[in-house]
Amino acid sequence: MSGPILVLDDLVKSYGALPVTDHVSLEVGPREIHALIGPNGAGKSTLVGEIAGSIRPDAGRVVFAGRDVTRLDPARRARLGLARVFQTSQVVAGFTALENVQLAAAATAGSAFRFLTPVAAERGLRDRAAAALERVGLGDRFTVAAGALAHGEKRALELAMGLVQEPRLLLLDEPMAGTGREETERLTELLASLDGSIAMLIVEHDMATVFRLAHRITVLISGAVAISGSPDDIRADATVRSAYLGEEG
Amino acid sequence: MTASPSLLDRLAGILFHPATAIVGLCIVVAAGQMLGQGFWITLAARAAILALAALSLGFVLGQGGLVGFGHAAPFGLGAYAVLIAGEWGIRDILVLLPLAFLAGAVFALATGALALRTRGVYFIMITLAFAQMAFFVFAGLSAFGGDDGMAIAGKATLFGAKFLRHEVNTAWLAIGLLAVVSVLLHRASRARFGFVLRAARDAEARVTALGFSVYRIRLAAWGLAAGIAGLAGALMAEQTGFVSPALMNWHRSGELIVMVVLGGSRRLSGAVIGAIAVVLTEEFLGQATEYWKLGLGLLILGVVAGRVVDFAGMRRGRA
Repeated sequence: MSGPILVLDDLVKSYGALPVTDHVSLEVGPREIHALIGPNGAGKSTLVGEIAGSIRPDAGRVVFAGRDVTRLDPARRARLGLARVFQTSQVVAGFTALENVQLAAAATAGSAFRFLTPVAAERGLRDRAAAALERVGLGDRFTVAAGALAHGEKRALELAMGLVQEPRLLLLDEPMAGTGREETERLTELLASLDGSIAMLIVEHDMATVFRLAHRITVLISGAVAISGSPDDIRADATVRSAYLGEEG
Repeated sequence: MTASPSLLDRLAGILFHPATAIVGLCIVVAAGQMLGQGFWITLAARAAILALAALSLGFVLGQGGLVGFGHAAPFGLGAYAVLIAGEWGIRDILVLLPLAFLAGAVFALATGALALRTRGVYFIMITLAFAQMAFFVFAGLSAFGGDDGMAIAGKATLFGAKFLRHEVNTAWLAIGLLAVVSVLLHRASRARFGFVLRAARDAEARVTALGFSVYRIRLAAWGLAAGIAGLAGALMAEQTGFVSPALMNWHRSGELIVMVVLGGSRRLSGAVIGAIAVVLTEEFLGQATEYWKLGLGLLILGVVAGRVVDFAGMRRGRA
């Protein structure tokens, strides 16, 4: 498939009189890393919700993998190949790191309606989960309860949960939020190592990360697309510099 | 990392193992039979039946986080399935039990389809409301005794033999079913079904975002639990020979929750232990004083406080 993996077609969403998504159109190509940036309150999280299916737009379409998914719930979209890393870590705190990834793996391999085979005995799930954890650098944290992991490790765990599903699009909502400088660099390099193998839409405040990873950048201001282009275009754009990058220049 | 468990922990592990409770019930029934103590058999059968109902509630409450306050409804429906089928001449236990399971499960699937769209307190209230509706429907059903209830037409048979005429057989059947259901639910809780159910209890948004339909999984668990409660209700009808709307009273729903909480909802076996503890307290404290519920209340208070209150911390003045 060569068409875009994700198309947002004239999305509109308002809360009362306040437009939070103001006629947004955007495309993410296959294997493209697309960054979404913008000041606080620009409507980035709302847009992520509309893509994932937890927020329904008032108008417009969300097309994923060539299919109109505007009316589908988050679970259906996930099954079509959309994996989401939440802004605030969402892991099953009482499960071990390995169990969390096994859970994610189970979602893409067969039904949840299995009553007799213990999950621990499903070799396929275990092997896939272990490989994903190794890949994000949590190879020695298999049996640690997810709730006991450090913040950065939780982010990595969530990433492993996304990767194990072999999604067609990885939706990352501020993956670096709250992580220290070193963690951020490590996670950024990890994402960079996936460049070319998977499409990503990444919402991020950390400009170093954005410019390191993104093939294309879309700037959202007051719910509308201000500009969309290559990292060089964005860096050169005067409006963006004054409105957002400010101290970055 | 973990220290080797102390002798006390190991002892508790054995004592609170579900198999221990089931073996204990078997011993009581066998002893009752040998020594001619019919009362022991009645007591063990009653404990096993209520343990079965509590176990099913414990599954959805503990694994699924679904606090249903209407579990008496499928329990009572299972009993009414036996009563009504008996009036139609259906007496074979191998037909009655599946019928009772279906009665409970169908009710739960129909009401759960709506109730499971709510959360928290609303879920508690809506399950209570549906159970009360079932209660009043049967209280008004004069053909089957209405408010007063009525005796079942006759004890169930097995391939034509009057199998359940002897109470000891009812007791063995109840204990056997309890054992089988315990094993099956334990398996299910370790398999994907229970795995996803527990994950959804703790992180629903995450589980949904992974692609699981949490609603469907919960509905299936809800139906399964109610079906098992229906089985327990059928056994109760067989044991007492009498069915009335009181079986579906909301007090009983509360009592089942008490059993689950008393035994600890995180472990499946908790409900079984809790049910036996309540039955024993009721029986023996009930003989001593009519205020036995005060004793039960203190027991619950003690157990729950022991579980959640940090006494050592309080003594150090930090709680």
